[in-house]
Amino acid sequence: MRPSRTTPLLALALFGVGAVASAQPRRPVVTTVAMVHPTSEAPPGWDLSRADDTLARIQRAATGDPRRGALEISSALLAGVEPHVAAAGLDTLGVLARPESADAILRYLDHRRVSLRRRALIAAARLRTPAMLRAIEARLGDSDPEVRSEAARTLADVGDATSVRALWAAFERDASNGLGSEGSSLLQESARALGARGGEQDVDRLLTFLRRAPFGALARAFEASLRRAELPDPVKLRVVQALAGIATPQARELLTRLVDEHRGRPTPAIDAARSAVSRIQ
Amino acid sequence: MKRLCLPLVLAALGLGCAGSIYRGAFSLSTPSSDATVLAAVADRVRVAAPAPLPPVAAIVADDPAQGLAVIDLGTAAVLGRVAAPIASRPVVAGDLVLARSGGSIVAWSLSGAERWRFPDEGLDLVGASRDGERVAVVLGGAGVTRRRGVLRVVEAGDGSAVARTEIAHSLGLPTLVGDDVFVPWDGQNLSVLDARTGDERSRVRSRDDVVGFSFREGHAVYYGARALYRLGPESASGTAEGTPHYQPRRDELPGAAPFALDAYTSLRAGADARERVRLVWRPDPTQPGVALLHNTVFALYHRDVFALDAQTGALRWAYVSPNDLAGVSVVRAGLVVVDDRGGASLLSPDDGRARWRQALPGAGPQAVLQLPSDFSPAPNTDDPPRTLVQSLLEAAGGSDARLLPAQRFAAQSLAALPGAPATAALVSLLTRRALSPELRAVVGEGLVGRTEGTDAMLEALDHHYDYVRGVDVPPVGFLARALARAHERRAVSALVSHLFDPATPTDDLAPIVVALRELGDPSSLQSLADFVRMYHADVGAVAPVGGGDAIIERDITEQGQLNAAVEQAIEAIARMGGAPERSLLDRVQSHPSAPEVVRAAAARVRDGAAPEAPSENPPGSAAETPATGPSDMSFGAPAGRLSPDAIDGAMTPHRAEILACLRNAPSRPAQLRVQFRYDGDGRVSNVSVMPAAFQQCVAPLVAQVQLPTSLAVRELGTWICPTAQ
Repeated sequence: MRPSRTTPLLALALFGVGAVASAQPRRPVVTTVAMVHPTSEAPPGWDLSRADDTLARIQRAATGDPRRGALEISSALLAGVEPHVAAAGLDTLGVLARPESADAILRYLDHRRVSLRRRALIAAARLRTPAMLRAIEARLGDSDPEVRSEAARTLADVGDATSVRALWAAFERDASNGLGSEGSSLLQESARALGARGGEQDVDRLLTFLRRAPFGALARAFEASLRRAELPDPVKLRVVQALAGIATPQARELLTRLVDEHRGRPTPAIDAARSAVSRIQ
Repeated sequence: MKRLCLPLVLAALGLGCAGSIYRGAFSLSTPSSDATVLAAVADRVRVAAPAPLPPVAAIVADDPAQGLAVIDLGTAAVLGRVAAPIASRPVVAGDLVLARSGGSIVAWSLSGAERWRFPDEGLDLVGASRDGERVAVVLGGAGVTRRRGVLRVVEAGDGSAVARTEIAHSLGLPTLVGDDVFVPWDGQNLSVLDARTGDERSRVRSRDDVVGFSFREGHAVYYGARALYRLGPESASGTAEGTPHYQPRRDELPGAAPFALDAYTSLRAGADARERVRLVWRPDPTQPGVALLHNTVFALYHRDVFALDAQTGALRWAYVSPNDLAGVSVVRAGLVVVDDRGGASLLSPDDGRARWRQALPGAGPQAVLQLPSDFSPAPNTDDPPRTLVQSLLEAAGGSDARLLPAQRFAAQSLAALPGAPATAALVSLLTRRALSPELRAVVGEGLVGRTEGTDAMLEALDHHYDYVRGVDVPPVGFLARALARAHERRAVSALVSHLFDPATPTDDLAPIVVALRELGDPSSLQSLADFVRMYHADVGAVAPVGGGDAIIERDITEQGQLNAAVEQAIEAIARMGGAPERSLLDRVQSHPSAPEVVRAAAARVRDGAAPEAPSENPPGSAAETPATGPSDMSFGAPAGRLSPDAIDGAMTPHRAEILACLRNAPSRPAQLRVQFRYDGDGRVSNVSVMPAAFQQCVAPLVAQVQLPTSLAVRELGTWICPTAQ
């Protein structure tokens, strides 16, 4: 992601004056097809030098027309506001989940403040567009560990097939780094995301990391996999059998949790888990 | 030999009574010999046939108490082993190995058999010289001010005494040629004694230099300490000017490597750091005057060797040994090095390539080499040729912290080389993860100002930090400064991308902005404006995600660095921008939460005051003029900062005072990088010193410096203070 994403001139060229005017919410807006981008200027009537006033306007924008609210807040963020105002603005953009916020969210994904990058990630996840997913994936390589794990966490919820590749790269980066039985937060979150978003092959690949990567991180992955309704039973059975095979107290604990969660809903995997729990001391 | 105790004379001379003193030999009142006498001495040396020297290495065990091994370097065979504890650096004298051991000076044959011994009299072994059937041995070794020495001449076969002289003077390394014993003493004299009687035959007294060693090379005797003199009739002058001599041309070598070790202070057995940091050379007696073999001086630093032109001091090549060098000797075929793992190599004098390698059947931290100048083992390796740049790159890299002075020297030498390959090597160094901060500063400053090889800089700038891919942040600040100085406009988009990369170190932001301003490309204007929008009021605390108390996410230093970058961006917009940017600066100027320095900058440019901005380009250079031509903004006033020369001129008179801060420092940097603010009255403030270890001492001194007055309102300044004496 790089800066300079405001494209009012492009909008003007494609859709006429009305498209540009649409960035100014008080004027009539023409939005039949085009997505209108925010400007880098304060929305009309907003005094960005007054934080309280800006926060109040963000609050109002959140409760009005979502599209207009997203444009106004995005314009304010791109024009520059104090960081606590930006935090509130990003939180609100996440709630609004409007494509008009994309420019502002992308910009704040590169902000120097960790708290704002994390908020931008959360807001980006709500948009769920391919561009946003790629931007979130890029943050797996962030210089801050909180941002990296936040990126993996959001991809666990909204990631696609491309995201799985990025998550594998992040997982393998930290898989051999140690950090005890839990692993780094990036490892834990990327493992969980792989368990939640990966396909059958990904789950099988995760099994190959047993005894090689911290178990705490893998446990998150397997829990996420075993909870997925669409994952075929044979895959889940392989997971349970692999966990039974290592027969550690941590594996027993995980299998016990699985059995408890699925009490009264027998499947081959659950039956195997129950059997393994009774065997593992 | 006559002995006479002269306590009164000694007392008058402040020497103390050592129990006995010789009136003739070593007498302080004996004048320097005249040219005729010294010519006769030199003639005796010239006609004396030197005995052949077996090419051997005496290798002291890791624990010197375990003795030493004698290895034939020609055949790599062990000639003998000595099991006795070794208390001083051994001396190889022809077919004898001598060392202090168990209260005696012991001589062993090369096969390790003890030949003879005599009491050490509580003194260290300083040196020994063999010629014919006699050996001259000097004891003392406690330093030039510890004035007690013993000279013994013994029969080589059984150690029986020929002559013994105990003296209240410090004695240096002796040389025996026929019946003449050459003995440096008290740091100032070279006496020639009769080996049979101890009587002094002639003397050289230096009036302006130090004399510590003497040795024979072919048909000549050399002496000196800081310079190399060839004994001859000219020596009678007693002056460096009047005597042909050689003196090294560089004094900023790694570890301040001495031309020769202090001959009056004995080296320990085993690893002795003094032996690892020194210059290595060998005179060529076949040349008239004083000339060195290969016209080369080799600067040794633990594992590194730098070959320097003896006359010009120019660097020829560098060599990095895989292990510490335990012994080094120059021969006509090149440079023989023996490392502490038992690896021996012959390095080509032309390019430092190994031509011969041999794993020796013994290893230790100290290898005393005795090699005839014609020692020339058959080549057995064919290493690929390496350029000077390649060898310096290797020497400047590495992770051995002990080698920092050598790495610094290599980096500075690289920076002094012209051409794109040297630039690429500097960039390669600068992007290495393990580079120490001090070396990073040296390399980075070396990069700034280079105009050749900017492609390598641009390539480095293409990289962004990526945790997953293991990519580090490139040295953006240095690259930005260098590229701006080189007027490299292709860097603009990459610089912009780093400006908005959160992984870019905060202190690199201002250099990026300044570089963009210097490059003056209109495409960067919008990005600079976006940067100002984003960060002009970026102060205060923010609640973390998920709730909790608001936290301030950057410290005061980082906030100051960010403010400085925004301030510079405002200045850049003032230079490059048009009317549309005016409203942005209006807003910044009046924003109540914007830092004072940011608001002041916006107000300044709006009011038409001189923009303040540090520059990598001298005023008036091409890059000073924005490519867009004169700005249509009324507040784009001309610059009013001090030139680097003006800053240097004001700072340099205080340099000596500043360098006093480096005294007793464990590591002496090659330069201090001083950054500061200054105003139009020349007042200096906000001083930042790299390396930071000297901040506390240097910063107050720099803050006292009065710079020339200027139109600057608040300016960033940089001064590089070289630390070489």
